[in-house]
Amino acid sequence: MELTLLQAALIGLFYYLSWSPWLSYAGFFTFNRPLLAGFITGIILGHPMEGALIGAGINVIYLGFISAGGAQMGDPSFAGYVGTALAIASNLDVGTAMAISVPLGTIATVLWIAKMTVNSFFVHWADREVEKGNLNMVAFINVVPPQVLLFVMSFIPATLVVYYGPTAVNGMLNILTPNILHVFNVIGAMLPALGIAMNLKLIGNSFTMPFFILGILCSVYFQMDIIIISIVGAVIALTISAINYRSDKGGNA
Amino acid sequence: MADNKLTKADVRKSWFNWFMFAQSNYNYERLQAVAFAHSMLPIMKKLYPHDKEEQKQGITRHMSFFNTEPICGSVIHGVTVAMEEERANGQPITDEAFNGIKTGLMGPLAGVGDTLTQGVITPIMLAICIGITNNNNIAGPIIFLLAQFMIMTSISYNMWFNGYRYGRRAVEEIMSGGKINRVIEAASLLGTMVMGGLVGRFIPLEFYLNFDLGGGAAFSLQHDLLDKLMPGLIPLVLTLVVLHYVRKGASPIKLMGALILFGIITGCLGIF
Repeated sequence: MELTLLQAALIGLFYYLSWSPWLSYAGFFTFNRPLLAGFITGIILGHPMEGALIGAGINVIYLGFISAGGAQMGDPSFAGYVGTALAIASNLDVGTAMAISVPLGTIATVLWIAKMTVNSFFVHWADREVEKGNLNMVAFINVVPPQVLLFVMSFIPATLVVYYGPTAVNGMLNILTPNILHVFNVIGAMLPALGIAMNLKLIGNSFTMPFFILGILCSVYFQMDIIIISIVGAVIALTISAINYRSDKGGNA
Repeated sequence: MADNKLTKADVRKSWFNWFMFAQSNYNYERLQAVAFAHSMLPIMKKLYPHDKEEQKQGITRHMSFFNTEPICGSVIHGVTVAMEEERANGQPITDEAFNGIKTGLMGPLAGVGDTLTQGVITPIMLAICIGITNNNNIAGPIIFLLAQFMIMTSISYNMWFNGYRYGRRAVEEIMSGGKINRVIEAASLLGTMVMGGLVGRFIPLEFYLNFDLGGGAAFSLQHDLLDKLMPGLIPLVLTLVVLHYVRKGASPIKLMGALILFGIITGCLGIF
């Protein structure tokens, strides 16, 4: 499928929006995730369901994605928008789409680091304006210069990769044999472990880790849906919390 | 003495500035400092309508280093707004007091916030909605969008207004009574269990190795041994190994490279 420049630009625009403040901070929890990114890219390219399925696949890799204190495992949004666009343009299946999205998302982390570095200059500008008494400049500096910078740094690369990428991908596809695709699937099955491990670094400890094993058993052995596992987990968490609270109170009295 | 009162609209305007632009100028030097000052603009203008010097001082004191999780951290802004209102009405609150409460709260609330929003709510919603999508149902991404917007907006708004209404005392009570630890503990337990569910669902690694025992009998390492021991053992071990390196401080990018390499080797050898 041929992409028009307008379609590529629209995808680039949504990639910019997903990191921008214009969709509020809730945008980070929605438009920034490959599931929704794939769906939107699919709508732009006229294949919404296909886009959503590819986005869902890419999002699996970033399931446990945590952005805390600067350590990132990539840019899920770039992987979502650009990866889905390339996959639809070159007619890739979900497994291959996952495999090409990961390097894209990893390279895009550079944009994020550059943005945070340049943004530091605007802080000093804001300091000077407050010193002069131009208080409204604080709102201006917080919004306009960082967003112009972000727009240039996100819209242009995303649009270019979406527009020119399919040629490169098609060249690559010629060398793909079923064996290589199998390797891609193995990689795709391993990468979610990274996101989940990064998440567990935050929430896993000697007290909670046994429940990690319980969660695995619930899904593999008992074939429970995630929503059911969540409900069981909530019940256990509330029960234990209530027991601890009661014994704390008893101890103090 | 004149009573400087904030209206609900002022507080809401301040919340809106934060909810929109919290991460707009996120930077390595002072992280969310300018965004914090931005959110205090409507407050300062309302509290000191004729005193430019007080406005300037107010904004300057909120230009200091600040970093928290923007959704749950909103309670800090609520408390700050309440303190600013007290100060404008004659209470002697020093700049150090503001800084103390902000820096004292931002760490713990980043912990709670990241655990809750990124560690628990988002992965659960994602897993549910990816499941819906994979059944060829277009409602998956749409439900995800609406649910996440509703959840995040309402937590942020309620945190802000609770902080404003109950002020320092409420937060101090939460912190000292160990309530915040109970929330983290319960959310972590729930999150860890769901992570286990995700490992089981989304890391479908199985040993492909089969041993020919002769006479048509074959021994499959996965089905005849591992599944009998514990289903999902390979994903469990893989995640624990990665977790071990994450805890040791390995960079995520390097780990990703290592996983890809490991996947290529094992995939080519036909182990997985």
